Amino acid sequence: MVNSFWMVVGIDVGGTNTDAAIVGEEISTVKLPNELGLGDVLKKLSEIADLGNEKLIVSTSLPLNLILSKYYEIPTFVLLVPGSGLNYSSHGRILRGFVNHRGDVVEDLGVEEVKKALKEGKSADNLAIAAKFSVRNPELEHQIFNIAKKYFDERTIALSHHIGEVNFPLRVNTTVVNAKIRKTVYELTDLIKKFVGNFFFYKGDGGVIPYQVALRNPSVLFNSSPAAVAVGAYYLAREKNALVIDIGGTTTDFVVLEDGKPRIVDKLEIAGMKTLIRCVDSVSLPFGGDSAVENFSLRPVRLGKPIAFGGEHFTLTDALNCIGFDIGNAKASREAGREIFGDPRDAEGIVEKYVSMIADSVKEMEAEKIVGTGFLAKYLVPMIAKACGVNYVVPEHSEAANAVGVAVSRVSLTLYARFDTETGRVVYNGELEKCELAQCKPGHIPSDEELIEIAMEKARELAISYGASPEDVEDVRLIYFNSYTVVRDGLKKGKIADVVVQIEPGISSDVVW
Amino acid sequence: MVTGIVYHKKYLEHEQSPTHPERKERLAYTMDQLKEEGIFDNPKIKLLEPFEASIEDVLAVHTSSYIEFLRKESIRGGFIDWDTIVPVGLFEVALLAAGGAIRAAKAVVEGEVDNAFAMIRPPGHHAKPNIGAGFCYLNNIAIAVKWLQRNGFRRILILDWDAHHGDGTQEIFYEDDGVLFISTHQMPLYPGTGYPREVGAGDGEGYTINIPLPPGTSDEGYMMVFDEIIEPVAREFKPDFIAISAGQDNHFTDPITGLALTARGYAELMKRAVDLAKDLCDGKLMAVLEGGYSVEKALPYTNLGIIAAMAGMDISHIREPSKYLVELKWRKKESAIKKIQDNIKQVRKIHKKYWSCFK
Repeated sequence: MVNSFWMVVGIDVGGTNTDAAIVGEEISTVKLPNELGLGDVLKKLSEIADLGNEKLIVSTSLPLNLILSKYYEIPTFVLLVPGSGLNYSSHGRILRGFVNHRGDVVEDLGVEEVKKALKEGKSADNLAIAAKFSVRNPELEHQIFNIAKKYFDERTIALSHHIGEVNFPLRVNTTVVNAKIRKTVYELTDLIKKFVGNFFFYKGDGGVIPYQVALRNPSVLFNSSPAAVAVGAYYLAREKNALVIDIGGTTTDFVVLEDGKPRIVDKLEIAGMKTLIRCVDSVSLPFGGDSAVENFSLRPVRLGKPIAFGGEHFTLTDALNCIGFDIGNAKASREAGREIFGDPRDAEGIVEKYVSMIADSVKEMEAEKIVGTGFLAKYLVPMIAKACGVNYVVPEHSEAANAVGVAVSRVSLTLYARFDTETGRVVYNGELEKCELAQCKPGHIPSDEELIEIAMEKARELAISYGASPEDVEDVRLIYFNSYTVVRDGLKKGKIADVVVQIEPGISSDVVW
Repeated sequence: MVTGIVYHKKYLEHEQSPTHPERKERLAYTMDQLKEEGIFDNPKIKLLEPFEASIEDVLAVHTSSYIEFLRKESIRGGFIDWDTIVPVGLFEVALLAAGGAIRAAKAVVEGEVDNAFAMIRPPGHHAKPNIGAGFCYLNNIAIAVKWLQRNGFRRILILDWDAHHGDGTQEIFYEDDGVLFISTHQMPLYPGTGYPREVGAGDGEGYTINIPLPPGTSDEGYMMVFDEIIEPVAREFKPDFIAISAGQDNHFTDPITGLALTARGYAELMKRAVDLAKDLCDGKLMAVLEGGYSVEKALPYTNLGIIAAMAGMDISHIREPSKYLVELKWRKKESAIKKIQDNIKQVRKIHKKYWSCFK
């Protein structure tokens, strides 16, 4: 049950189809083929939902994952200002300039050097800019950005301080990821904005953020689909601890639910490089309902739609029809099965092979309970559960659990705050701000508790401005705290503190269970 | 090559007063730099958790009455001298620091890592058997070296490059011919000892080598001392383990000393020590943090440079920012070179009866 006045549209662009869920008093879902394009998908959706007035949340990890699968084909020019430290010349072009650990600029950029580098690198597709300690003071990155705009399309430039977190080499790798995907996210945003004034993106950790925030650090969108599936599975099946198996068109994905939340992995590797991406820990096997059957065996490729849905290639879905299910045009599947196998029931071997492969993975993950989602879950998950002897649930709306997960999630954010009361500098997620509160005025020495409360309040304020419900921001979690006194000439002159707080991803409080 | 870093957040808890030069930012800022540098994601680095030294380990260096004094004073807070008060809870942190030094030694001996840096506080090299001094309570490096001796090491080289003379360590091993103690330090400066004529006594005569340095000594002067004294005598001594009292207060931005070493110079020194250890004792080397008070400026990337050199990483990008170089100009004294040459000559002359490399 949900509040009567409340309605959210969740969209997840998958490998084969785009799923949408309109969640209000009731849940209604639609599945539309990706070949329509997101524009037409939105057009169709606007026929059944008032997109202009309802909250729209979009999960688009798959197109981004596809770009990153071609990581090395999309050249990125990388400009680095590492100051003193290890040798980063293998990461990119090193420039003069130095921001120290306090966030002071102790060496200026060489403007001519920056221009020269940009002239030489401008043939690249996109540009990543990273200065060491830019999360303490982004000044040098901004300066380079202002020069770089003349050489690169602004939408293809990524700055490292937007990632917020301390760890230069990983921030560089993440900035490169951002540079590669940023334009696509911009284009998606422009497309969606033709239909709605405001909308949200879905993150790989199961949280929701306004599109403006995603544009600054689009890496957070990575792997959002499995996160959406897991949250949707939890919401629909009410199972707090289980293994979610999502059977899609091209892949079968596994996500572990722990205490109602998808299991998260830190420092995800992309193209063999560690990044600061924190997202759902999912395992994906390249087999799904559209996987083709060739030479009597199931292959990890999609050649097109199943015959049951008007395609030309025999698939796992068609094999299910051959053993007695009625999915789409089952008759067409069986006819094709007869041609291939002689007796269509011989397609059973195909299904069995898939089931035992998935069952082996379930056993490996030592799951005690499985929740099935995706279009084919209701057919296959009972067989998988039987093969590995575990309990299962395939909840109602399981075919669009991903889109439901997107729709029922709440706004979440992580705030990296740094206070330096000697200088009166406050940095929130890499952006320098002037703190107007008396506690962070220069020379004031606030207590640790005061600073934590300021950071928490800022996180609440931000989340509300992003469109979070007041009930969703009550619970702000302190993730990290460290503070020191600044001493000059033997006198206390201020305090420096790093505070990381988070409004955790979760089910929106607007949704009444 | 894998370098261990011994660290515990409890090392930040020790505080004599927030305005004391030996304050927690020394490590907090360094940890900041190491995190920003992604050091802990690097496969060449292993973070080692320290343990508290046992009383038995500490008794190998300090008297039972002093240990009892520290333990008692730590309960309510006490006083050793104006530089070295005993804050409440000191005893546990001091044991964890001493244990951290043992942890570093043990990790190297057991092959868990190739070498190790004990990034610990409070420091230790001024602490003597019966009393603490100069920000130091327990002599961490001495406690670790005694542990090494109990575990079969017979010839240990202690290189103390803190800007201040390691008087505590010198006293502890003054009569021990199993430990070659070499100290470079600014003179005149606290504690006022460390003249070349202090050479050890009894069996230990000749096994203490003091090399005083004039204010303004730069990278060049340090390398000269390394080439002309430290390296030849180390090769002759043939240590089976090298332990470094690594004080980072020789940096030209250090507020309480007058030397002019750069971060790169520090990294170079450590690189030479690491190379020497590889040649002489299968690379067995540990460094124990002593002083270093340039918390606002160079300490974080100086410590980084030392770690990079230990782990065999490229140190060519350890450098000073342009805005600090003015200070280096002020601090570095060309005239120091002449004085260093004289001091080297004097040290070699005093020690030539003990070491054939000086003949």
